[in-house]
This record gives sequence, structure tokens and C-alpha cells, in this order.
Amino acid sequence: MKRDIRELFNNEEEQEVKQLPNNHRAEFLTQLKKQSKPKRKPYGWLSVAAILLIALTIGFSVFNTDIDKDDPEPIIAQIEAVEAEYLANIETEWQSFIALTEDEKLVTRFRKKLDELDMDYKEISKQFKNDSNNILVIEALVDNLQTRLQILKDIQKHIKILNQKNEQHENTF
Amino acid sequence: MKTLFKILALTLITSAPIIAQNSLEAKMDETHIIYDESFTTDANTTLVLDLSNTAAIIKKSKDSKVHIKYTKAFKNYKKKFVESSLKSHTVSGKKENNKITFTSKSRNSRYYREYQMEQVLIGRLAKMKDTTTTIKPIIRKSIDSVLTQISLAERSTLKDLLGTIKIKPRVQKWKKNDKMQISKMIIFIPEHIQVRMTLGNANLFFTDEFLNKTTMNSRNSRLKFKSIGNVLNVFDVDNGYFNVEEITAGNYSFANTRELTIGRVSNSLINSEFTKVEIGEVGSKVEVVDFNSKFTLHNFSKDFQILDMNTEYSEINLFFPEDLNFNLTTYGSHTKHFTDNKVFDLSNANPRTDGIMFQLKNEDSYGKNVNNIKINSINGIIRYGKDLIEINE
Repeated sequence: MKRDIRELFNNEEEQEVKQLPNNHRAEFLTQLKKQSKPKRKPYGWLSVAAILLIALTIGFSVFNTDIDKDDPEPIIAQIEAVEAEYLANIETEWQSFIALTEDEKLVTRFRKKLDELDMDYKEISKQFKNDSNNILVIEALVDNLQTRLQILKDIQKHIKILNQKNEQHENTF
Repeated sequence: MKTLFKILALTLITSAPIIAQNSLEAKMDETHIIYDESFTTDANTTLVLDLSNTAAIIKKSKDSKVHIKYTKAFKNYKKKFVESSLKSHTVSGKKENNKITFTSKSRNSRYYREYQMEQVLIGRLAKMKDTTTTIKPIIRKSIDSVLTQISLAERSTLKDLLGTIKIKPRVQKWKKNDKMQISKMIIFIPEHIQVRMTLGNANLFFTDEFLNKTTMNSRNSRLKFKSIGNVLNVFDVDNGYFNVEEITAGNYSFANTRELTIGRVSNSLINSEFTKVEIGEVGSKVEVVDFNSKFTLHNFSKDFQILDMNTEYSEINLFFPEDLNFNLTTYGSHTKHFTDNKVFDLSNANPRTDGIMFQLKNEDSYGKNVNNIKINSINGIIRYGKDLIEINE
């Protein structure tokens, strides 16, 4: 049963030489065209409408977004930061003031004034919570803090001038 | 962002009552009447005004009625914004038992939200931290100069505000589509009625003489007057700004007032604390009681008769009266006197001197009616000058 494999191939070449049909090229192209035709979608217009609708909705909401409607939280955060900084400075100036003067009456008067301003501040803060976008209220808050700081700075300057050593004179000149 | 700034500048400017008065001529899309009412009055009528977050012009009524009209005009704003803006005002008025009560409160001034909040606050903080202010000498101002300063007070406030947020309004170049809103409240008050006012964050401009008997309680407000002077006036002003061309009578208290500028004052008592006071001309019979304020007194009228100041921890910068016979006496203790670059630390220790620290006597005044400046000062600073006061600190 032993066979030479080279003979086997020689015989096959002789027996089965098949020819391609003449119009094979045209048939191939026809088949190719059939396959590449897109499948028709019956509700294609719906997707177009949906896209349009989404685009319009986004456009409308952007167009109607009032510039005033930004989130109030950052304003509140800013005020809190400003408040914290001022209060720290006020406390520093207060300590510096009470160290500078020996006039207890003066200290008492300033403490009373600062307490009054603090009560005012609490009242304005209530307004601010109800009306956090009102610049007038915000200005009142900042003015209040500035006033407290300024009167403390001014009185220290005043005391320093009073305490400077100068000529002493009699009462008439 | 630039558009925002332009809108802001526009809104700020147009919200100022004075400017609004003139700019209502501009063509607006819509004008809404928020309130329009007139009330009859007689000599016993009291008008009670309770104004909060409100700007108004106060005028003298030409008839015997109180007229109040409040309108708001809009241009290029959306309907939704206009509706919301109108809803933010609560206005009511009534007359009962010969008492007219008008209340105006405005909540949530939306248009101010166009402010760049961050910049406002950062700007203010920067100002706060800047403690190294240059010390300049104080120069004597003429009465006209002080009156001009008062007339420009509104504008300078606006300028400061715009400066703080670093914007330059381009008034002449606004486009047709720019947004604009103008609120205008005018209150006409007859001369003969009494007025009681409670003001909070208000901005009032009294364009005419206002001589009604008035009791005013004001907090955080900007007030500007032409002339006030009922003998029975009682004003209590806390914080805010107060500019008046002339005060001819009454009692006025100021606490923590950031800017108190008076053109002329006479026959009045000023009770102040923690306030910066500038007076163009001191007239007859003025009395001041003060704690820890700063005064600058530029001029004196020819017959001022007496200026009587009782002060503690106050700073007084006083320009000597020009071409006048006057005596000046300071009483009290522990007060620094600065004059002609000299400093005198004066305390009264001698009971024989009746508490006198410093005296400047006009030798020709013996037997004559001369004008007197009396300052009782404890722990004070008094600076004198002819036309210039050096600040040596």
C-alpha cells in the first residue's frame, strides 16, 4: 500500500483542473452590492426628533438661566471667611488696646460699644440668612466689622499720641 | 463678564435716586406703579415713615397733602425678572386718627447680585488691611468747598463703590440692548406736619428745606439734606452717612457715623461718639458733647457767639476764626495741644485756674461782646492752625 506522494499530486493535477465561469467577476460585484445595502429602519425620524428635542431643551434652559440664579452658598462662605478674618483682627486689636491703657472707664466704654455693635451684627446676620443676596445687608455686615476694627485702631493711635513725652507748660501762654 | 460689569454699572447708577430723577426720560420698556397715594393733612397730622432698603427723594409738598409715588421702570429685562423684582417690594400706606403711616421694605435686591461679590469683599478686605495710610496735613476749606463736597457726596460714594470693584462705567457707550431698571420713590411732605422716621439701610435725599418737626431714628442709612432746622428736631443716627448743607436748630445724635459733613450749623446740640465730623462753618450757639470722635472745624461765622464743646478722648482740628475777635479757652485735663509745630501737653493741676488749660485772649475784647470758643477736653488732642494743620503722629 505504499505510494509515492509525488505521484499522487501529479495525478490530481491531471484529472481536476476546474475553470472559473466567464461572468464570475460581474456575479461577485452583484453579490457585493446586495450585501452593502443598509437595512431600512422604520422609525428613523423619531431619533432625529429626539435629538432635536434634547438640543432644544438644553438650549432653552441655558437661555433661560438667569445670571442671578447662581448658588448662594459661595456668598455665604465668603462672608463667613471675611467674618472670621475680621473677628480675629478685632480680637488682636482688643488685646493690644487693653494692654495699652490703664483707664478702666475707657475700657468699659469700649467694651459696651463693641457689645452694642456685636448685637447689631447678630441682627444684621439674621437678615442676611433670610436675604443672603442683598448687597445692602452684606455691606452693613462688613461695615459693622470695619467699624469695630477701626475704633480700636483709632483709640490706640490716640493713646499713643497722648502718652508721647512733650514739653510741660503752665495753663496760660 | 464685561457685559455683567456693564449691567452692574448701569444698574448701580440708575438705582441712585438723584440720577434716576434725571434719567427717567430714557425710553423704558415698561413702567410699573408700585404705590401712588395722596393724603390730606392738617396742623395736627403726623406722618410716620418706616423705610427699609429703600431709596427715596423727599420734597416739600406744594399743597397741604402728603403725596407718595413709587414707580419702577425696566428695559430689556425678561418678564420673569420683572415680576420677581416687583414682588420683592412690600409697600403699604394708611391714614388713621390723623396719623399717616407709610411702610416700604424691599427684600432681596436682585439686581445687586450682578455685583461680583468676591471682588467687592476682597476689595474691602484689602482696604481693611491697608493700615499704612499716608498722613497729610489738613487744609482749611472754604464754606463753598464744603458745600460742593456735600453736593458730590452721592457721586463720590458711587465712585468709591465702583473703584472698589474695579470697574469703569462707560456711560456714553451703552448699547440699545443693555439692561436698565430705574426705581423712583418721591415723597412730598407739607411743611406744617410732624414727621417720624424709622430708617434702615435707606438712602434718602431731601432736595428742599426740611423744617418739619422731625424725630428720626436711622441705622446704616445714607442721608442727604439741603437744610434742616426745627427747634424740636430729635435725630438719632447710628452708622451710615449724613450730609447736610445747613442745620439751623435741633438736637442731633450720631454714633459710629462714617461720614458726617455739615456745611453750616447754628443753634444746635450735637451729641456724638465714634464719628468723623467735618463742619464748614460754625454759626451761633453751637454745643457739642462728644466721646472719641474726630472733628474738623474749618470756619466760623462773624457772630458765632459761642462754641461750647465738652469732649472726652476726642480729636479736634480747629482753624482759627478769620478776621474776628474771639477768645479761646480749653478746660479739662491731659490734653495734647498742637500749634505751629509745637506740642503742649496740658493738664490742669491748679484749682485757682478754674480748670483752664489753655487760653487765647483778645486784648481788645474787654467790655465788648466777643465770640468765645470753649473746649472742655479730657484725654483729648486739639490741633490749631491758620490755613493748614500738620498732623505729626
